Amino acid sequence: MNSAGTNQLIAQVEQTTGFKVVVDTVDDISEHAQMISARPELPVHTIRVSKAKLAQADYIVAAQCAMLIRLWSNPARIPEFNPTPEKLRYLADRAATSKPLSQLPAKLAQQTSVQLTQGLLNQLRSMPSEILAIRNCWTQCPDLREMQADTVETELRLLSETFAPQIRSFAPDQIWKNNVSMSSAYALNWSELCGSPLAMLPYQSAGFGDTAIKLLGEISARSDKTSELYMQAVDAWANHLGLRTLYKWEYRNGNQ
Amino acid sequence: MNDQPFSFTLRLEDFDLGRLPISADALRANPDLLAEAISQYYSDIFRKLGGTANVAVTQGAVHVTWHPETGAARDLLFHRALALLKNGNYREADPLLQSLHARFPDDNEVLFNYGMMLSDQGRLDQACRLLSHLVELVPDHSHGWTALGVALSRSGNKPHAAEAFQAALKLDPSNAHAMRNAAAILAESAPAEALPLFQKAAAVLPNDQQTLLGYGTCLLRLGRSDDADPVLTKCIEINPLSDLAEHARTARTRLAHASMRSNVAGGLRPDVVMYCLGALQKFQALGSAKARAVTFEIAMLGHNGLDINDPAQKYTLKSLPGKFSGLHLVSIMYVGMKAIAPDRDAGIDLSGEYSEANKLFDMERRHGSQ
Repeated sequence: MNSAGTNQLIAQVEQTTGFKVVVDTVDDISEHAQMISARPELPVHTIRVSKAKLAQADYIVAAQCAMLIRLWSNPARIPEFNPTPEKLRYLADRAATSKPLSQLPAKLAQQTSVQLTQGLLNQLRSMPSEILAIRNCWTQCPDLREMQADTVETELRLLSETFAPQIRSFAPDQIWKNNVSMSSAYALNWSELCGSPLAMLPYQSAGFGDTAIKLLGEISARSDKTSELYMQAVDAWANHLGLRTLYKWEYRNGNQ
Repeated sequence: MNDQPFSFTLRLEDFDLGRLPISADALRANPDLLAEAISQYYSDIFRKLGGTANVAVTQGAVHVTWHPETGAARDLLFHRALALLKNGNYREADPLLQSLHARFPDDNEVLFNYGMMLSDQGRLDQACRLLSHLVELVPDHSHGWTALGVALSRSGNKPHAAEAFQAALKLDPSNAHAMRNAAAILAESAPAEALPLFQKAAAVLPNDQQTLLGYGTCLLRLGRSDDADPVLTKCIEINPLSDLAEHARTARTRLAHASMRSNVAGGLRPDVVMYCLGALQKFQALGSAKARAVTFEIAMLGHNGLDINDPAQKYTLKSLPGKFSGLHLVSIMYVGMKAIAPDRDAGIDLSGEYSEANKLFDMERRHGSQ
């Protein structure tokens, strides 16, 4: 990689986890990158950067490494976030039968609500980790600030699409509120780092300013690089949002 | 406080909403939010530059007035924009150059730098417009003609691009960027004529990825594989995770395969047959999970390029002990891929050697079971 900070983070991952990092490229993915952490069948951490995002590759790799370092802080006990299928189904069923999804054909309503609830849990699992990685990279890789701004602001644009009328009108209220709450913490984190209220404007105007402060506060209280604190931050968010019963933590041993 | 303010007005419809960290659809649906966001955007930019800025959004336009603390506003803004461009910071340079262009539409330096930046960002219509205007105003601007040629070439207008490069070279025969780009167009139909231009450009720009890719590819077209390989390798090394490196990598892979085959006049390579046989035996002993791990590890390692024409055993794996040559690893990977995903392209054709190795392997097993 070209950035000293990125190379330092790669070295840190290799030292913490005992596995090499391989950076690869991949076509046709919607995310910035895919990360496959080391397993017995593939004993290297593979970070696959989207070919559409090669201009930001150094930052994307640095952020993935920051997440790996936290998740693998204890390689013998790597946390895995596992949604509880029956609870998830219950939530999805409830959303499918309430407005506005109930106005859709039943099958489509069901599919949409499953997608939305899974998306919500995915956001809960990943966003605290992303916020922490953004902070780590801001400090450790000052040479990547422009790439970081490009990447984070692209994400912020995507997240704020929920304010567009066509999306707002079809999302069930509770799911929409939970989604926007988490996104508001992400926006506030960026606003604080770059010293501009710009990213927070849609959340402030929709009345999510206090929620953002509360959720981001849970992250700030647990910013050490350990998987334990990352899990606590996710649990704290889940408690605020009423999602705590929808998943459980399991562990795997990365050395086996 | 300087008493010469810098003022400009920009229609909201000319403002690129993609610069804001907020969804364009959400902004269009909420005019108050849109006005507040654009106002905040310019306030942030001019606040960073010092002095005082007034930003107002009225009647479908944003009006900005900036009083710098000291110095001439145009020069301060322009030099700040140049410094940002030099660091590759387009996102911050862009609004400054746009502001300068709105205020000084015939400024040569602004037209050249803003035009090139737009071209690099793929905003080609706007880039061509600005750079055409520049060469109208300053017809002897060799770099302006080069930049226009690049923007035209990126737009797919190769004949006009070639004319622009020729104009640039006529004004300044030592313009290496014009040489490189003229050569790239020429290489498609007449690589032998393009080669001397690439050679000259590479001598002046030895670390320019685009020059090296064009030069290496041109050498390949002329059948000079031995000369092409080090040029393409250097192109990759300069920035391995870039589109240009990807192209160079693909060209090198094709080259390596052709070279490997040419060593045996297109026939089977006995060393590869033996490597494949060894892999079949090893994978049988290790079991499928381990075989998969070995295969994937080689595939990942191979992404950075395995040198299959160097017999030196310079590679090691975490999943398999020992030292290996590039060709040995590729052979093991090929056998693994045939077992895991036989329909997937392994990136190299070792089917003849693999088939031969399979026959030997079956024979061994039959003998072993007798």
